[in-house]
Amino acid sequence: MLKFAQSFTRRRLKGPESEPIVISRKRIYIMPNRLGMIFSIVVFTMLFGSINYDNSLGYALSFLLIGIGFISILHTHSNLAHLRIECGSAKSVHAGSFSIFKLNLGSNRDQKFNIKIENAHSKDNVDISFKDKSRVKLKLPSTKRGYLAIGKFKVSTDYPFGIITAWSWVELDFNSLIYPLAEDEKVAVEMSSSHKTSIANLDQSRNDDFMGFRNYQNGDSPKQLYWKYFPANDLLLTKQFAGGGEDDIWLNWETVAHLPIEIAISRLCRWVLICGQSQNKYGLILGSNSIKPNNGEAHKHECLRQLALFKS
Amino acid sequence: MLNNPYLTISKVKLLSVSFFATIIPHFLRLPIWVSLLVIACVVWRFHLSNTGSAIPNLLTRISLITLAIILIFLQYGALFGRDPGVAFLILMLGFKMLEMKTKRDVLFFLFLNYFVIITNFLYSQNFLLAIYMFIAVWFITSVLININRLNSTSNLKIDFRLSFTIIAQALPIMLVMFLLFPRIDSSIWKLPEDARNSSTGLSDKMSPGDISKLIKNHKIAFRVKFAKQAPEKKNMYWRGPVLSQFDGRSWNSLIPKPINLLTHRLEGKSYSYTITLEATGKKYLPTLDIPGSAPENAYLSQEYSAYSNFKVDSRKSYSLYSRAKNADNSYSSPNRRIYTRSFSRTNPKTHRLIKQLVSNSYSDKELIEKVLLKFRNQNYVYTLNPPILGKHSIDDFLFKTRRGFCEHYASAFVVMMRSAGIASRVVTGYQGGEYNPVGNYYIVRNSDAHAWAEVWLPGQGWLRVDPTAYIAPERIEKGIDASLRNESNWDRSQYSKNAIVRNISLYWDSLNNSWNQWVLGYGEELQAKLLSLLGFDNPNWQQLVILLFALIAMTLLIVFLYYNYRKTRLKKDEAEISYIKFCKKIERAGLTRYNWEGPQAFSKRVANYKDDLAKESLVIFDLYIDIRYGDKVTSALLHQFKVLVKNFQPNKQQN
Repeated sequence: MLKFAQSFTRRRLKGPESEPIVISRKRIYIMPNRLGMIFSIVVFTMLFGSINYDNSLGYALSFLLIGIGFISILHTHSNLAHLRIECGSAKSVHAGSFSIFKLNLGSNRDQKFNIKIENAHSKDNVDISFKDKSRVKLKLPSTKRGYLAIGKFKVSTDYPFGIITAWSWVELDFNSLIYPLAEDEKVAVEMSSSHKTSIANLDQSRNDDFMGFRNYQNGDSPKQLYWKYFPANDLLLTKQFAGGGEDDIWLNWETVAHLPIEIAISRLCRWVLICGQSQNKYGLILGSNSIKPNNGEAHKHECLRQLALFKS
Repeated sequence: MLNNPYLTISKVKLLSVSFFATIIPHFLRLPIWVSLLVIACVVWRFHLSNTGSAIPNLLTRISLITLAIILIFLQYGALFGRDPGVAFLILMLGFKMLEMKTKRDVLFFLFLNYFVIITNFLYSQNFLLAIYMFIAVWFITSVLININRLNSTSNLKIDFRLSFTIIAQALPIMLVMFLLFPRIDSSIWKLPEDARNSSTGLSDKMSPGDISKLIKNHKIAFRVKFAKQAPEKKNMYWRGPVLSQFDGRSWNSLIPKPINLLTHRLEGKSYSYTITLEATGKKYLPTLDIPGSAPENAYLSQEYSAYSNFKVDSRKSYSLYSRAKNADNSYSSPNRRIYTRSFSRTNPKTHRLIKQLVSNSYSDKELIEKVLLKFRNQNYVYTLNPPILGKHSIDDFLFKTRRGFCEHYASAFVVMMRSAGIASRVVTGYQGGEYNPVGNYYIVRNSDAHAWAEVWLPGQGWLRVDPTAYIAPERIEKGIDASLRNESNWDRSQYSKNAIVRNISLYWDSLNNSWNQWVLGYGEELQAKLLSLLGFDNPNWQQLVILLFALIAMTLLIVFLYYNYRKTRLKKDEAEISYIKFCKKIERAGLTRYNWEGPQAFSKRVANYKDDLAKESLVIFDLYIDIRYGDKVTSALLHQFKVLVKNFQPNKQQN
């Protein structure tokens, strides 16, 4: 019953709202839950017994408990009302893994207890003290690169008695950037070493464009060796650059443009990750967009961001 | 291995508190092995949570339950009924303690704790138990709230306070439902035999010694409240069953038949009164002298005793009026054959004595006086411990032992009268009563039980004759204690209290009386009275339900509004409230603060507006900014701010 009512009310949500969302009284739904049913069965058994035995104190106790049940509606309701929800941070992940959204819950009215926050994939709960913020996390699976919206989630509470659930559906304007799925390392490496497909583009590309990998030949600079690949695959590869330069690497969209777009992007993504592990400076050219060669975490994330949003 | 990480030791502690709070009154009644088993379960649970071991397996649990069922059957000889039921419920809760794992288990356990409280009321419903009920509910509710918090053990004070608030808010709903929930005065299904407390009272039979047994019982038989005037204590004869059939040794009542109330005429002073009778398990209803009518669901027998249609299994109230005497001036006694039958084969000496007395008397009245004078003048003794009587019990009593109790005298007197051909019968009931000035009512105890005689005289009808009054006049005038003062086995503890103790016990009884009358006695009848006071004559249950829900909704609304009002006040802090007052004062002086305007911007505007206003207000602004945005806010600073705002009078400065 409660489940049905909750999924029914979910549909009434109009669309994402900007933060902060304060749960107003109008958007709170409230209903007894399964424990509430058990509680009422116990209380009505007591009432029935009192009627049968014409027991005045029995009546009094049954009515007191019924009164407590009624009053607890108000308390559960007010435990959810005026809850403030703010966006926290959402760390970017590669498509295919779970994205974690952090939310800040606060209240400037009173303290709140046992606030549950829940979507289809995860739940979290928290106590909130007066004029303070508490952090909760929601997980959401990412399937493709680009922006992933937090989607509809449920904020609920059954405090203080656990017999009545108050809930509200929330959809925040809160997105997480999902990086492309990186192509399997082996595939990314071997595909670009066997077919020297990108050589055709040699002339258009700049001197030091990354061309892919080739088998190690005597005389290759150790700097250009792809060391990381060696222990697992027993194959020593050399990074191959159009210009043969050793300083800056350019990762160019054009070298993979002949592939289906998602595969191309995921290959570039893998290259970025590989380059990110080396000391070399690398840059990214995506059509008219280019990122100057650099290295470090921030630079890597900027490259991944561009890839995530490219032609999507 | 931690198999039950949810139920931490602190939670177990809380649950034990709630559990014991609900079963403590039962501990006094339960067989000792039940109490020990329950305590063992709790201790075991502590051990499990302490060591983090797994709960007992299914086989252990099933064997425990089977063991409990067998033990209960051995103890009570039954599995159903009040006592075995309660024992079973409590044992099950003890076992539940052992197998709880999840939050749902715990909450269900706590709901059942509420249920255990109600079983106490099958034993007693007195005022103290009502107070206990509230305390127990408070405890359980607090634990319930605590369990529902995330950091459940952090601060119990919050839970106790919130639980108190919730109970206080639930009280109006409880009251409204108590008063308006449709009451019916009959059971839905048959009650088990032991659901009622065993009761004592008069019987429709009397053998020598029956009444003296009752007299040793000091329990309250009934309470009487007179509408206006009460008769004198010595005239308070509370009529119970009338015994008319004598078999030579014991007395039996006739099968009661309702009389026609239309031909029922009385004379003498009329008294109106309300009797609250404790459960007797029998049908008779004591009345003062001869009642003018029968209470509801009751009838008057041919011998003027009131009988209820149902056994009096719970406290019962009824209002009546009575007069001293039936206005019967006929010259032939009804059913003379029954009322003059005496066994001439037994008690030959008595019959001889009567024949002698009859021949010396001119009238029935003279004969009666002679017999009574014989009792007074011939060293008869009034005692609770009469010697055992032989086959000719009346002969033995009158001529040998001469020691007896009211029942002996009444019985001997009636036998003598019948032997003389005068229609007569024994009346059992109560005589006297203790006045409670606190509640202005009389308490009649079982120890006030009494037996007297009635004789039928031509032209006068049935007359009351109490032989005891001739032997022990203090019994009638001062009460049972005065006449039995020197008896060795007479329990005087009820009477020999000093004034203070006596007063307290009178207050206590008065409280209990009101409690019985208004709370425990609240049923169909009182509800109808209340509703007609509210303007609902003959309400049907639909109206009642609508009224009930309307009132509950109203209560909820009031609590809701009150709650929100308090919260909004709580939201604003004191500095802000004072600041708003301050801004309003400036507004009256001519300058309005914009909604978006902070204190600093506003103070600049005020400074430019009027010099005299600026002087005093700037200090206040500075102080407010300090309180709002400074690193240290002391209560002294806040106080200073409030005083300044209070004394700030821009209007006066203008003049």
